Amino acid sequence: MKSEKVYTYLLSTGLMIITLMVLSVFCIVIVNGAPHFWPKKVSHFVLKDGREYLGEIHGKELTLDKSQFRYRIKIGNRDVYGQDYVWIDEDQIVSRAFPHGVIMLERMEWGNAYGFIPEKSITEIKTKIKEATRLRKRIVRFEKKNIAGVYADIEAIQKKYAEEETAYRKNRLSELEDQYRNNEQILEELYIKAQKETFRFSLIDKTEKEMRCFDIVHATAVNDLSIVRKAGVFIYRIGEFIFSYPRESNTEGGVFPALFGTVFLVLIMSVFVFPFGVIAAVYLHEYARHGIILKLVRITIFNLAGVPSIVYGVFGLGFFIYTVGGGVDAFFFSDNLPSPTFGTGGILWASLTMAILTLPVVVVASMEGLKSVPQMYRDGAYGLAATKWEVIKDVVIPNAMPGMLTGLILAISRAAGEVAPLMITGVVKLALSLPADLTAPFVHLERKFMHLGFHIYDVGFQSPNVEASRPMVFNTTLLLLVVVFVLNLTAIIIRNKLRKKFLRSGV
Amino acid sequence: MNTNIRKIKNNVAHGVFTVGGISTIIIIVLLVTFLAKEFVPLFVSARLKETKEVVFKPQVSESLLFARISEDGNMGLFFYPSGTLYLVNIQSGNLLKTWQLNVPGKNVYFENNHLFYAAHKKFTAYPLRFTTDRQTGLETDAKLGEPVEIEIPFESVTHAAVRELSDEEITIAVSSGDEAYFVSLEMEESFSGEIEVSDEMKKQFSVGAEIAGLEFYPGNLLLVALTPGQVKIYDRSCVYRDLFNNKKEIAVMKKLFGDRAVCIGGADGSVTVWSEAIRNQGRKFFLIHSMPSLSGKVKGFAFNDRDRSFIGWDASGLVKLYHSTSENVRLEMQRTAETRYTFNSKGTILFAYGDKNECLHLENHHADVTVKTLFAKVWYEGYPKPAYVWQSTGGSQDFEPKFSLVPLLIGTFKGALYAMLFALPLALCGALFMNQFLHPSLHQYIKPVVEIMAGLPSVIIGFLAGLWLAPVLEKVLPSVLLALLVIPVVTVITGFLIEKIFFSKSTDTYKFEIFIFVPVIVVTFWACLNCNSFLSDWLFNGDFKQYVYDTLGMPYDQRNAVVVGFAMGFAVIPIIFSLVEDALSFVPKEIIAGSLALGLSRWKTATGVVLKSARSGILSAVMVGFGRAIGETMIVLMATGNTPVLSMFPFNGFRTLSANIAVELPEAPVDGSLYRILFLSAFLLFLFTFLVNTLTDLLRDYWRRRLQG
Repeated sequence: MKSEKVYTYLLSTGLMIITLMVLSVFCIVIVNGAPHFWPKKVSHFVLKDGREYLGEIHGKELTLDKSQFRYRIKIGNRDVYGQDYVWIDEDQIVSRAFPHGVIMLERMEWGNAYGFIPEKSITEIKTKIKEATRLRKRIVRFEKKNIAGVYADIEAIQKKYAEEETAYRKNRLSELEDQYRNNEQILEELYIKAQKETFRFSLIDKTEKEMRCFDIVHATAVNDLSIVRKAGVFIYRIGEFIFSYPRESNTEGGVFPALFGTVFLVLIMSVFVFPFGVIAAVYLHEYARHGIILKLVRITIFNLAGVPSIVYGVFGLGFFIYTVGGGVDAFFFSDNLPSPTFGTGGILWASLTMAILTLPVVVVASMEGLKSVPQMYRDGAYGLAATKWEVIKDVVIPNAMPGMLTGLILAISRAAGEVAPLMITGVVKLALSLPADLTAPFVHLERKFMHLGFHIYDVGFQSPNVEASRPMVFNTTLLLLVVVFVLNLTAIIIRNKLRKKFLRSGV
Repeated sequence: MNTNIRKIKNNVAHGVFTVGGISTIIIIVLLVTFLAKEFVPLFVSARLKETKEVVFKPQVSESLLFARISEDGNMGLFFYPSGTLYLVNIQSGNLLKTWQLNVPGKNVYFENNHLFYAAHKKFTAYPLRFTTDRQTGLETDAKLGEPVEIEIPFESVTHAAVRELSDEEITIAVSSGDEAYFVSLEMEESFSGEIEVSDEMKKQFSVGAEIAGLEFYPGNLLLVALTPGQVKIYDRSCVYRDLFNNKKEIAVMKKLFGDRAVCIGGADGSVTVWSEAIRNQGRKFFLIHSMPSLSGKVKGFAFNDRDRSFIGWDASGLVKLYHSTSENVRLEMQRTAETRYTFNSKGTILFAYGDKNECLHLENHHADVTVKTLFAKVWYEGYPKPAYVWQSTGGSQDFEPKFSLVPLLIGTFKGALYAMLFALPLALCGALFMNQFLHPSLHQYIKPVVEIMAGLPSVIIGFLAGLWLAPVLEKVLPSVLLALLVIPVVTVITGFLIEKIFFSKSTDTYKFEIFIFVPVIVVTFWACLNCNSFLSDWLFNGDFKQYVYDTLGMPYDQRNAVVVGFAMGFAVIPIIFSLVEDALSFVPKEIIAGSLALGLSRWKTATGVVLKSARSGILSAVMVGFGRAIGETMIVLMATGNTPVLSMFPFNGFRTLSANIAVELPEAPVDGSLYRILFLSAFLLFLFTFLVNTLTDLLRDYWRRRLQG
């Protein structure tokens, strides 16, 4: 008897290991990602051979012969040193300190730079950097509106009146071309202005470098920050991560376009999948005649949930993009051919593919919801002379709504994390314009888009500088994890409430 | 009035729901048929789309000596024994250009873009080719270049081969009877614009038997086929080695597209393809394909510049369209014995000439794909033996695509197998424990954990596996394997101690006290990790990776099947867990109560009664989990090296069907063979998972009805 109990302990190990694994996934992602936002102190190393390094400590491990530790130092200044990281053996270190006044520059290009600025000019330089940031934003806006916008107008007019050479067309074209040239000149002036403001930045080996304010994102005196200021920087960096654009081929900056793409994809998908899923469920549950065919259909729909997602991607590529999209292009966008408009991957086709992929989830959950509505409610309503439509509209659907919503949330959470089908239906590593913006017609369904999941795959596995991008990927993972976790938790809570209600109703 | 509106509304709603519901179902049917529609053309045989007789306006009484047609089939170059060369528009029959050459009536050949003939110990070669229009890229004209003349030791020649190595260098080989002559020429343009020809090398040699064919071979080698069934290869200094001798009389020898294989037609009608490969440190020619035979003596072959399809015809007038890789006869025709054939460079049009001139428009798509090339061993060019290989693209245009799905299928099952090895014990133990021994009040904490686990995007699991787990595992694998063995032992011992020393429980269900095992597991695991270096020193000579390589002969890849096993196992655990749990809770309470009342212990009841009666439910859970592992894409994409190797070795990577689609489809040309094969693999994935799920559904249904009596 006792030995049998021992075996039950063995069984419990399975459960414990599963729980531990789930926890450790969360831990690994958080531990590897989040500290990246916390400003790290910059150390100054002096080595036996006289070399000096200034940088953040990014790791410590045993050397190959296991006799001592070695440090991995992020020395930055890739434009000068050619590499971001160096390894230093512990026995080589003569001294190590956290000098005051070290400035960390986050730059548009070439990664971080560590060094010193003369103390008296710090505030002045900081205001200059702020001005430069404003100028950069202005240039981006100007390029978008006054350069690309005018160019698009010129193209449109050239295309529109291609056959006839009217006076209007001529005038308008020359007018626009003048404008374009003018704007180009303004832009050039802006760029010249941007080049002007510079300051001297001295590195640890006493060399000096001319830095342009225009290339600097932030200048932080990291070693002199109080804990409160550090927390401030921490929160600011999280905000920057979520709301700004990526820099340096996605290894720095933020993930806003990817987050936006993910949300937008899921939204469009919901617009398609929710009504269709609910209608299908209502039809199957309320209207269709019960019999062998219905049973087969039900099994089919249920089993579609188990079909690999890549299969839907293949279908999306062949059917939506090449067949439907190609057809749309041939009919409506024939002027642009052979360059495709809808005949190539884009957010609309990706969303539709996702909608088909998640359709079974919504149908199954909605049917669960419909099943949970007691028959006596329907009978009662019929007894009050309601028509079938009225029964469904006023009694069945409101009561089944939580089930349907659960289905939608589950569908959204599945779609938010699914990457394989997107890889062949229009996700890209870097999309310069969002699928929705302030230029008419505001929603651009043909555009390619970025996606958090694909961002993880791309930056983590296809990036040229995998080591430097590591914290970025872990934080993107963390963000996606949080999004999916919250969605799933909501679905679980709604469903549990639904179950309780279902139990209480006593049916 | 009001009732009418309500009635109408009711009917409209009925209509909307019916149409909506049915169209949803139609979408699903569409999905299947569309996938099928895209891959079915792979298996359609070639056909003759149309046959157009070509009537040539300036009537010529002679019959054509040779002909070539342009890429789009609109133009033809026709050469007549009188020495006239015509450029003709085939559609209209109009004459575009005429050249008159002073040549002997017979023994004029056209090969490798050269028209050549020999007479009076002189050999002349004219470069002759279609020229393309710069703007449209279409072939619109033809150009006959300046001839190259050389002295030869023969009065006339029976075979000749010309090869332009560059603009300045040309190699020519001619033969007469059993004698061959091999010349290498260098042409230099002098200041005055004249072309000076200097022969850099010339050799005459006897091969010992009647020559049946001459061909140049990469490396400036000359292949010489002898009528008695022998092929020799000569290098520049005319040293030869025997390639093969199959003692069958050779009628024709031609190089196959890509220059890596030769096609040999026998006097008995046999058609064979030979290719060179390295086996046992020696280069050797192997018979890689025996094509279905023609009926009479083989008279000729015609090739195109796009794929390995070729035409063979024999003395009886039988014509077969072959494809070398698939050893397949795509088409058969019967013409007269005098007819000869030439392809356009695309291989879409076959021009037959002889007593009747015809343009045969062929539809010969996806000739490189058959059931055999997809699923059976194929002997590819340059391989020492038949093999299963997936290699869809190569560096050059004349690359032979290798479309064997077998390595991908094996990879798919390998990944799923390792995943199941890890997931199954954990999920089964966990579900059985939770269902039978864990107090129901704790279920509400465990279930969401499993649900969250199920909701974790596979891209996250794959990313962690590839970028975090794989490098870590590479260092500590021996201790992790040790932990897998030690943890169960330690928990059993701990359990025993708890029972013996501390307390003995009166009930059989467990509450929070079970979490005492969490620290036990963590500590054991940590201890195992710490003895990693000791373990690898003791058992594996200090380096596990080197040890694997030395003893098993295969290198340890960082991203391997074990990593995938852990990661994909993690992904399928929640699926198996919840389905098993479902199946267990469906076992009627009366059975359990009965078993307990008869005096069986809780443990005996759980393993003997509950597990046993739920076994088909558990089986279906396992199958569904397996199905999920089969189709998982992102995890294998990120956690393996994606090399399509054929092995079940745990420490190397593999490529699965699904990852293969994700990798190759974005670059596959639409409607090409690769594109359709990827659709076929998607269909296979669909079919497999769908059938498995449906079967398990039926199984579960049947089992539930039986359990309920």
